[in-house]
This record gives sequence, structure tokens and C-alpha cells, in this order.
Amino acid sequence: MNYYRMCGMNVAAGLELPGAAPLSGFSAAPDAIVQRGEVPHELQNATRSGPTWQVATSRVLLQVPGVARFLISDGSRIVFEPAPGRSDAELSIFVMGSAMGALLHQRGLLVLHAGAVVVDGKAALFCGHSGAGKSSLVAALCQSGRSFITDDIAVVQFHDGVPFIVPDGRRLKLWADAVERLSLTEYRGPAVREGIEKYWVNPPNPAPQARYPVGEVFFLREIRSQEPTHIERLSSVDTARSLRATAYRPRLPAAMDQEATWFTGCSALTRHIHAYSLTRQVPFDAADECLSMLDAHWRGAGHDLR
Amino acid sequence: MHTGAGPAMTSGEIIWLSSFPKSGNTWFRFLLANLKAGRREALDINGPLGLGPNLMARHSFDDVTMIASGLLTPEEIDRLRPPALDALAAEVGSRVYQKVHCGYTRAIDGQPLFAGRTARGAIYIVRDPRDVAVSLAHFSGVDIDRAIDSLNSTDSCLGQHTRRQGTQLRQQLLGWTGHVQSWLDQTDIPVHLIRFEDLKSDTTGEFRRALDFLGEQASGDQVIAAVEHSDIRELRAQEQRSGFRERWLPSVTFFRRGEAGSWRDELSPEQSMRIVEANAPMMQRLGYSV
Repeated sequence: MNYYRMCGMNVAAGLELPGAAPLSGFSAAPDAIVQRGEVPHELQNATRSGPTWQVATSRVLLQVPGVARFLISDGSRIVFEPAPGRSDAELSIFVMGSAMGALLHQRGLLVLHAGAVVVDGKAALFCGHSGAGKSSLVAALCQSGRSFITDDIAVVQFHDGVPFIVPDGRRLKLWADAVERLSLTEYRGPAVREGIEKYWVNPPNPAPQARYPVGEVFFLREIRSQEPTHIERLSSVDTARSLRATAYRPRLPAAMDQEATWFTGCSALTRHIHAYSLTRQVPFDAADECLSMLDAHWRGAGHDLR
Repeated sequence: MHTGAGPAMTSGEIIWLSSFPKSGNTWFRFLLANLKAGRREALDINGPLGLGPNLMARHSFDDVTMIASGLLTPEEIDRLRPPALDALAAEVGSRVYQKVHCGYTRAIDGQPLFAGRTARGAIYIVRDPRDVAVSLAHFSGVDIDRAIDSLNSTDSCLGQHTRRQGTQLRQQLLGWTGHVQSWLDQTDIPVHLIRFEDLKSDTTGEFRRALDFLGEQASGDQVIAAVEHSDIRELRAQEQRSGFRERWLPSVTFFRRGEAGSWRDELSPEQSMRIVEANAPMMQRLGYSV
């Protein structure tokens, strides 16, 4: 077994998870176990389904055709079965992404599709769907000195009513172009999947393991016509709605009948944060402009929003 | 023999608005959108068109499959496209007019990408490849010879990035001839062919015939209003005022001359010959002089 610290959990895994932070001297009962085993093609009593997934009470079946099937149960167990001829190494990225996301949802957590860095001791979150540029923005911020918390999955938990996130223990995932443009070649690790030019990258400035209160949330939007890069404060209603839409795999909370929990969670989070839309060119065309704008925002210059 | 797509069903269904890039697809979408909106003034070109959500976007695929498409090979993505498109269309619960530039291709398991259970038919718009080459070069900021290379190559693709993630999934263009052939010669779904040049010279008549195929009801006045609201001068004026979100390069305008036959003063004889040599049989089949 391999032991990792991931998304605030201790994870025991029957395969190597190259992008995760290894735990040494691990003895306590793990929060989650990942192991190879037989995975059915269909779930009995599935209540919701999609082209690649089925959800039943406390179980999620996920199929990546030709690669592997995953059965995620009770918020604590992921069983994977590689397709014939596929290696464990090829599917580890799906364990760490969609399967782990489903497991976190099963635990009833507020799992956001967001990257995060530390700003003034608090977490600043950047939300957006795949391809919105979360990872490259987070990487660029780390490159300019901010500490890295996560680039993809942000699990929000409340302590005494205050929302926190913890570093998810995983590395950055960056496409070859971004690695090059950000001059991060020396930090580059293996490809997240063989044959795909997306790499694990050690963050230049990892944040110390601690809880970071959520301070600000930025929803990434792409410039659609002739408008400048800009940051705009969102109303509470828009914030709560955008938070719900930014759930990691947003169909899962609905399929798991967790809408009420999410409504409560998003409302509570909304009360504690400043939320903005961050509208900019995607991905790199105006990266510097975007970074300067964020810096100005954080210095308070030119903004009376905070 | 296919007769038409028939009237819109109440369950989700997809009508493809298909063409090689720069062949008049966007113009046709504005015709349809303005008709369906039925307003006194032209629709905002940057506003919602009311033709349905973009089912072909990468994030739609990721959302409905719960798999990050960036981690899949193009072949793995293609294999999941029919069920993903069906699931997305079923959720919409009404007719979606979906732009597509991909050739009519098949996944590795033999399934056609665009003939899932919700696919009802296609409008196919074709334009003289010599005009396409000129427009393509302008639009993507490459010289005309390179645009011709891409037009003539059966390997040409949109969205095929391996070192970064594009907002679109890979679309195989198959070259101009391959593209036209793939859509016109498939027999899975009904197709209505429109030549850009005919749409230009008799917009009202061609649009009316397309509407009949689509089972869309409209009065003569409604059709005339939609044609006026989608006129190239209107589209250009709006783009000048507020830009257009579908530009490929921020500095290059999307709506250009919008004419038929402008290649005559923009292509050299050699360039025109290269296109004809590679595409003559299909050009002749479609009535383009060679």
C-alpha cells in the first residue's frame, strides 16, 4: 500500500498516485482506501445515470471506456478495474480526479472546482470549468510569490462557522505550453497520463499544511467581445448561484440528492467571502495584465471594493 | 428517401448546422435566430441566439461525462461523443440547432459521431472553396497558401492542440472535398444542402426552402424581416460597434466582404489552380466552374 495526504484525508492506495503528497510513518486507520478489484458494468438500483456514470445510494460507478471502471462507495472506498491491457499508471489521474471528487461528495463535503493561493493569510479561490485557465493562473500567481494551496479541487469545511480549505496535497497540473511560458521546466514531473502533454509540476511555493480561511472567490470568465480585463464584485445572489455551479462535477450533488446541503453550504460560504467575476483573455494572451490587475486589487489600489 | 427533419419534437433533438469553416454557417444561424426571435430590430450578435446551448463545447462534454476531456485522447473522446450529445440534448428537452465544423466522422467503434438517437437532421452549407480559402486566410491570420494547404489536406483539424487545452474538442475537417463528401454522402440522417452562392443571390427563397426542410413555420413577412436583420451590413455594423465573440483573433473582424466570387481578385491564378486541382470533382458536382 502507498499512503498519501490528499484533500484533507489520509489515503491508502493500492497503486501509485504520482501527483499526491506521500505520507511517511502512516499507521492510523485511513480515511479512504483505493484498491484494485472487480467493478460491475452496471449498478443495481441506480437512481441517476449519465453516459459514463451511475449513482445509487452511497455508490457511484464511473466508466472511462477503454481505460477503467471505478466504483466509489460510502465516501471511503474506491475500487478500480483497468480495461484489458491498461496499466495502473494510466488510470491514476482518474482516481485522483473524478473518482476522488465523487468520494468527497459522498462525504457530504462542499467540493469546488477551484484553484487557490494564499493572500494575506487567507485563501483566494479561482473557480471555473475545465479549460477556464485555473491551473495556469494559480501557477503564475505562485511564480510571482503567492503560496500554492490547490489547482483543481478545493474542499470547503466549516469550523465554528468559518469556511476553511486545506492544501490538497497534490501538485499542479499544467499543459506543456504553460510549463514553458511560466519557466517551470525545472519543477516539471511526469505526465499525468502517458501520451498526454500535461504534467505534474511541483508548485514553486507550496503553502504549509494548515487551514486557510476562505477570503475571496474569483469566478473566471472569458472576454467575449470588446471589453477590458476587469474585476467586478458579485451580489450575494450571484455568488451563491455561481458557487453551486462551480461544484466539482456539478451533476453529482443533484444525483446524490444533496441540493439542500449545497444550498445551505453555498449560502453560508457567501456570507463569509468577497466574491468577484474576473473577466480576462484565455489563456495567456493577457496573463500579465490579469496578474497586475489582481495585484492592484489586493493592494487596494484602484478598488474600493474591499 | 429523406424528405426533411420534420417539425420540432418536444423531447430533445439536434439539428446540425454543418459546414466547412468560413462557408456561411454564422450567417445562417443569424437568419434562423432572427426568425425565431421575431423582433422588430436585429438580434444582438453577441447576445443569446435562442438556438439552444452549445452541446459541442468542451465543458459540456466534461460536465455530462464527469470526465476531464483533457485527460482523454481524441479517439476516446470521439467514442463518448454520441452518448454525451444524446444526454445533453435530452436534458434540453427541445430542438437544438448546433453549429458543427467537424466532418461526418466515425468513432473507433464505427459509430457515427453525429447520428445518435437525438440527431434529427442537418443543414449543410457549402461555398466555393476558392472563396473559403481567402476568408480562412484572413480570419486565421495566415497567408493564403497556408490556408490552401489546410483546405486541401485530408488531415486538417480544428482544436487539435496537444500542448495546451483548447475550448473546443478536436474536430476533423477532412479537407474541403472530404468534408462535403462526408456529410452529403452519409445516409444516417437527412441533409438539406444550401450553396452559399444561392443563399446570397436568393436569400429569401433559399431560407424558405431550408425552413420547409426544418419544419419551421414562418410567414413571408417574418422571413423578410429575418433576412433584413441578418444582412451582412447589419452584422458588420454591429461588429464595428461592439466586436464579435466568435472572432478567432481579437484584431481581425469576423464579418468581411461576405461576397460570392471575390476570390477572382484575391487569389493568384496559381493559388486558384491548386484548389481546383485538389477539389475539381466535388466542385463540379456542386456546380462551381473549374
